[in-house]
Amino acid sequence: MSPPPDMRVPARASLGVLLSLMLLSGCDAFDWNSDTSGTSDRLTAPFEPHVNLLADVNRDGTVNAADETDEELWTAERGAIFLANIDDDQKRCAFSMSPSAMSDDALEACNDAADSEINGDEDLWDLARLRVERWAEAPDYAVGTVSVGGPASEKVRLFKQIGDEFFSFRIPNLLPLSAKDLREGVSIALEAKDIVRDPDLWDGYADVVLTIYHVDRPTERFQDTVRLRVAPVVMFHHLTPVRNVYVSRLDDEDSSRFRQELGGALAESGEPTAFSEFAVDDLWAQDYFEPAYMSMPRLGGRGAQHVIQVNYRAANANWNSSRIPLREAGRIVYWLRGRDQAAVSQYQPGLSAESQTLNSLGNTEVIPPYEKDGVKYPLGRLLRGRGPSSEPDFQPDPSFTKMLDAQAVQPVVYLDTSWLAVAHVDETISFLPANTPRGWIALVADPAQARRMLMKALEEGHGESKLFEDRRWLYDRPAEVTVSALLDHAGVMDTSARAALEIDEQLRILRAETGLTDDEIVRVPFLFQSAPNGATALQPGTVNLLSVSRSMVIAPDPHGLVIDGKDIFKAQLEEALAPHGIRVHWTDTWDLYHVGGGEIHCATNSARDVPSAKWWESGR
Amino acid sequence: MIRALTWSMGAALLLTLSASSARAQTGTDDGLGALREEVARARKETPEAFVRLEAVIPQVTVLDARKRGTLAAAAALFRDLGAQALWPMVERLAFDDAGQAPQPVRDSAKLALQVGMVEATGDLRDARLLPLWKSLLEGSETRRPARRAAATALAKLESPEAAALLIALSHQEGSRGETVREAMGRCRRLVMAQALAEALALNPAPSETRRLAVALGDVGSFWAWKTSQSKSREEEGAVRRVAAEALVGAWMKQTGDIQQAITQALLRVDAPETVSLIQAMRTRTEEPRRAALEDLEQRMLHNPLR
Repeated sequence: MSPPPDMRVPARASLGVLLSLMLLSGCDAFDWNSDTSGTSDRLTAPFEPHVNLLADVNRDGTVNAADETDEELWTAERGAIFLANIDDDQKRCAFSMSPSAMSDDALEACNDAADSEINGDEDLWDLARLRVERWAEAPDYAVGTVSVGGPASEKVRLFKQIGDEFFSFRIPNLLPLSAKDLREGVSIALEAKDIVRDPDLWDGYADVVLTIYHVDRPTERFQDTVRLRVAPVVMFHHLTPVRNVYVSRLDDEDSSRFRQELGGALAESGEPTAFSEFAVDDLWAQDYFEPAYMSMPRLGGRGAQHVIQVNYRAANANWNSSRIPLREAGRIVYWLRGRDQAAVSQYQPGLSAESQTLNSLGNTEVIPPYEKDGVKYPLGRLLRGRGPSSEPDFQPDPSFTKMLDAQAVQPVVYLDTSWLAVAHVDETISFLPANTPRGWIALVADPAQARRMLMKALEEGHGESKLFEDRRWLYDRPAEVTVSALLDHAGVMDTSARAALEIDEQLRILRAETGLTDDEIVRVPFLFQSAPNGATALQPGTVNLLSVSRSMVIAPDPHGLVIDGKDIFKAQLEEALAPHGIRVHWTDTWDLYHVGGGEIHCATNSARDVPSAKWWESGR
Repeated sequence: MIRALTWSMGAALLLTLSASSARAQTGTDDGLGALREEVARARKETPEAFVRLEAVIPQVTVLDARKRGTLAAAAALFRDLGAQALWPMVERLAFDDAGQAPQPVRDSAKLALQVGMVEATGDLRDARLLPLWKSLLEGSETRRPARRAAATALAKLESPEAAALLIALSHQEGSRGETVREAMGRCRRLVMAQALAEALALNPAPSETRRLAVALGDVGSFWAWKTSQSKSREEEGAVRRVAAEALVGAWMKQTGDIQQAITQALLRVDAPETVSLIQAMRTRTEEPRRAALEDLEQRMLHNPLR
């Protein structure tokens, strides 16, 4: 656009700075040899450039005149978007699971934004487009730049289209423009080299500035600015169906059987779901990484989103003597890195060993979308566990927390999980889609209900009936226990009592934050037992399940009390979910997962359909 | 008021006696001599028990690799070895100062082994092991889970001697004392409830207040008292009452998550006197605290544990 009169007041800049930038750019921005205009004309002719830089401000996937309005602002309604181009579209980054072959740093350093190239046609889709509108009458002594200044300058790279290809220049945040460029107009592409990690260093906004000036008067600049915001990383909630389920592949019979059964259940769900197995020596696929995504309006996409899946590596610092600082299985995020698949790692060394479990990503879940008191959360909110504020040494990694907070579109709700041995929110709460006005229900562990169910069974003469029949703890130790023995176990009862109260408090916070009503809460009864560092599920924690679709969950077989041929704990959950049209597919994970302190949700992870709600419309 | 004062003085006296008793026990006789003899006897009489223990220990590495949290639960491995495993475990815990016994490689597995053996041995509630717990808690062990497990094992003895020793050890500096205080509530005895109540009445720092509140919840836990495993049933009423009185008093001085921890402890103890204690407190309290006490009373009346 042509700047309004008040913007035509030339900005002042150091000639030295501009010349240095151009020299450093290694580019013939001003073609001295082609300057055929007479010197007198150059000095006396009016210099009124057409200064117009455009980006996809209205987010319709095209860059055109409709993008002019409020282009220097960024709001829920308008504002251009770009992506951190940290995937690896040509799968050229080397990978090894072995830390001795490749360090964590070496793995982290490679991605498409780490070089100054466009890495193939697919890579170009990851870049936001801008356009310098042509100034047909630009004289030969007109030159210009497109640049990004401020904190964003270190975080972005600009590319200029020359012929059919895009090129970056020596200074990543600066493109030189010749008079010819100005006359013909230029296509620009922009990538971020990283996501926002610390808003104190960079808040994710980049003001891209087109500057045009007279070559003899470089301090008089004519400028147009467009503001872009880098896409935040958004975590998946459970309201969209799974598209890829991930699980660790251990070399044993139990793991093989579980994976076979899981694959069968996913096929049975009717959802087109990929099934990925990781050959890592770590059972807990929910914990060592987490799939998320970032998106921008797809070029020419008419409202569609261009998506890069972002796989977070858990910030579990390795407190054993080790060659690598973080949990090894988390390196799988670099194996996944590829076309539209990115990897992000963030951690702070030196935190307490006990707090490391809070950094597992089973301790970062998502409350589905809702509105409360007029405030909308269209992408939901993160739900994380932490210790009480009086326990500063038992908190999640502050650098990872800062990074999550910086994404801004899913504000975090915190619950106290310090009373749990594993200390993850997914041990007590999960969410499922439902045909209710809110669109979802919360499943909440309820040890008090489990106790009531067992006491009722006792009163009805089932005191000698057994739970966990034919189940064994590790190394063939029988697990079965009678109802009366369980109810008379001081440790189990006391731990379950504390669990009931702690969960009640978690629920109080959840209600206060979301407005959940009793009708929207499904109680999931199971008892807890004491373990080193806190409580853990004694009965398989059926709240810890995998939501596959709107009509199916895969849950761990509780091996509960069987009365009249029915497991009363299975029956309770089936009956509670049936009105919501949700069927439970039971899977036996006792040996493989339960004895290690986790269940199906802990053992799996999932990438889902990207919700239709767009982050840029969230108002955050 | 008079009753509360009497308890307070009584508890103070007990604390003094306990401390001197503990000091006496920390004299030259470390009490481990008798255990050493038992271990030697067991080595002669049941050498296979020592072999079985060593055969199980490598399995801790597997548990460690499969754990979800920070620390694998290994106690059950050792419990299943039965009573004969007691002295082999005591030998490892008490007499392996030089670290000669084979250990897992990973630090987390080493810790799981230590905690697992302490828990399994502690579950036997064998009064003869008191010197072992004393030795571990006075020794160089600094790992919190290991210290907490040892203190819990001592607490589970629920004897007057164990209570006295716990109280004495709870005065250790820093995290050494903290881990003991975290475990004190597992000793479900009146003297322990009184000691915890006294400590809470001193209005300590927030983290300590929270620790003591949880411990009072442990000592007065009414679900635990309802089981037949409670040793000193005749003390139940007094324990729960002392805990409730201390907690209601502390509740008034706190806000935020510390007050929440106290509320939870009150609910866990669920003493019959709690509601009347809250009501009495309400009559001598100004708004807005008064309304908050009313909320607390309602929470007590609708205790989800009932």
